[in-house]
Amino acid sequence: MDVLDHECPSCGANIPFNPDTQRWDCKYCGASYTLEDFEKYDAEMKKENKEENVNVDMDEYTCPNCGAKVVTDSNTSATSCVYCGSTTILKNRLQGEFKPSQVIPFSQSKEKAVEEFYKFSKKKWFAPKEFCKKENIQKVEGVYIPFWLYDCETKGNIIADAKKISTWRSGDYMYTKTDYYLCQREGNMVFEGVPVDGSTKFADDIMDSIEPYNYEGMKEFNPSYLSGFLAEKYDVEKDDAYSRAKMRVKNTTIEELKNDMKGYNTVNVKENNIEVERKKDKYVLMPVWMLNIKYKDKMHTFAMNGQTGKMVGNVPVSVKKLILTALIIEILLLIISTLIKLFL
Amino acid sequence: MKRKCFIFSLILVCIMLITFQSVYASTNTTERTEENLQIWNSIKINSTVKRAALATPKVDETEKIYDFADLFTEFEEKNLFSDVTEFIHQYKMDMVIVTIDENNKSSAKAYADDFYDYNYFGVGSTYDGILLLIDMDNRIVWISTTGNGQIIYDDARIDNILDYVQEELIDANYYSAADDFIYYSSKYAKSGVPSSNSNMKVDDEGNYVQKGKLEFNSFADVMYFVMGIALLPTLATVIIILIGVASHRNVKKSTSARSYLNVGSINIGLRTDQFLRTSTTSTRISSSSSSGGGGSSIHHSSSGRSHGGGGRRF
Repeated sequence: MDVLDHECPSCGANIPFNPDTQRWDCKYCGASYTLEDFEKYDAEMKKENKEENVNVDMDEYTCPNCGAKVVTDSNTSATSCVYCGSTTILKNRLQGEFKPSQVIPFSQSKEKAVEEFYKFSKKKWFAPKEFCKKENIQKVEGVYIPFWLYDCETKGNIIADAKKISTWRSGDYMYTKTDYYLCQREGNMVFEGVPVDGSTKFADDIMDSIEPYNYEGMKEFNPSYLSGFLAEKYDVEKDDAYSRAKMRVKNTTIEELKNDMKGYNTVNVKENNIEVERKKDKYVLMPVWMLNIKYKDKMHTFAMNGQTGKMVGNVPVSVKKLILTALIIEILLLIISTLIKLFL
Repeated sequence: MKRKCFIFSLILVCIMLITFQSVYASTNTTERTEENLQIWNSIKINSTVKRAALATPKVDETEKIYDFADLFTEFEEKNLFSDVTEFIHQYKMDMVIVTIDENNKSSAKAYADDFYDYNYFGVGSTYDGILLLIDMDNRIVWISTTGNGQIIYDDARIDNILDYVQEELIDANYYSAADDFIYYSSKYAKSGVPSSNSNMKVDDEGNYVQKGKLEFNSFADVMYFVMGIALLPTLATVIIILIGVASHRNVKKSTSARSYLNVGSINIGLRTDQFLRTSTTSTRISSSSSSGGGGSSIHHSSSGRSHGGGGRRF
């Protein structure tokens, strides 16, 4: 059984990561640990009983706390037991090629995330009431999402038609002078840490919108950070995910070269030849608070950047609320307009 | 003898014909007396009115064409009469055309106003109508409007009509001038109240006054009022709602990697800007002459009535 259960070294209870203190706090005995404490404890444990590496069934594991058989998704690497609620990290899904090199830990607690989601939905005027209910928002879950980060260097040139337009007036005539230019720019630049979502489970547009993460908060990976949260392993290979990073890098390179053509009224890029070279790639886990709310038989996904707190998600529009709001605004404005017309 | 008789009778016939023709073509006037001024009861009589009325010929108000200066042939007069009748019938406004070769009043303007006021012209309680005076004495053409005519014919329209009429008069085409007058007057009457006068009206006394704020004389007025009140609020509501709906959506696939660009690493190795050609175009600036924001210029005649209009030399 290769399950990493996080037991409190002093009392043996489940001990999750606390984003508020950035430590591991035991709710039962009150002990608090840092990452170093854990590593020391782990090393001692390993010395005591050298466990053999058992090949585990990918879709099923035995809860080390209550002994129940728990079925998981084959891409899940951290979860909690549906019976006793104890958090579990499936170690073999975080090993070898699936071992992330770095992780950004959550920086808000669940209570804070719920509060943020609540504020977010309150700000949307036409949000259906399902979206403003605290009990629906309670279902928010912290998930570590696998991301690929690429470092790239681009090199190339673009050719553009550019125009300088000037107008002036002379007598009864308006003159417009257009100068036509053919511009070329050649250059190179470096991109660092372009992220691509490595899990097919999450929509690309939501994961794109949740960017950017502040890479300065990146920590060396340690499974202990996953304690108390859900985690996924990647299922999009790094070479496949790279095409999206390449496209984004290429667009920005063209844009930068175009921006260098200064002093023109219009610039129209008609040819580009950009080479993208992949320098480095990295497999990391990023924290995301996920919330799924069902409305009119459709699931709506909301996400919050677990580091910066940025909120993402399309809130559906309640037609009832929209019409009501429109009517109220219209009537109020009509009254004001009538008063102005009558008394001014 | 026979020959003499024939010539004599021929002359006689000619004289008769000429007299007959001139009798037909000339205008019948009747006498006014101080006791019987023969003017509208609505005009308050005082010494000024009495003097002005006595100096104004009393005509049959149904004839409409009063060619004292003999500028039109009998045939032309008939044509003008039928056109004028049609105008009156169609636009519920009176129309009068007067020519004089002797002006016994201070100005063409005074003559035109007095001629209209001291004869039984005008449609409705405000004596709506338009009059064209060709004053050969002063060589001035004058258009006088009364009642609702002051609203329909703002300064810009009067100016336009005078443009056409004046041009014909300079060339001594009197019939064409009168014809143009009827044609363009009809055109404007058909297009209704000009925007410059949209908030003006004539009151019960025929005075050109501003409309009250809540005055609905026609369906168009009601629409105008409702639009004025509701248009902006509705537009504002739609914009606010659209902004609200737009705020619901913030998911977007990103196509740029700008946040990950190391700005210091940008190195532009080659810059070429090749001048190809130049082209210059010119457009004429049209001095926009939108029809009068000024409305109508109004004056009062000797009778105290309010008139609009204007005139030109020719």
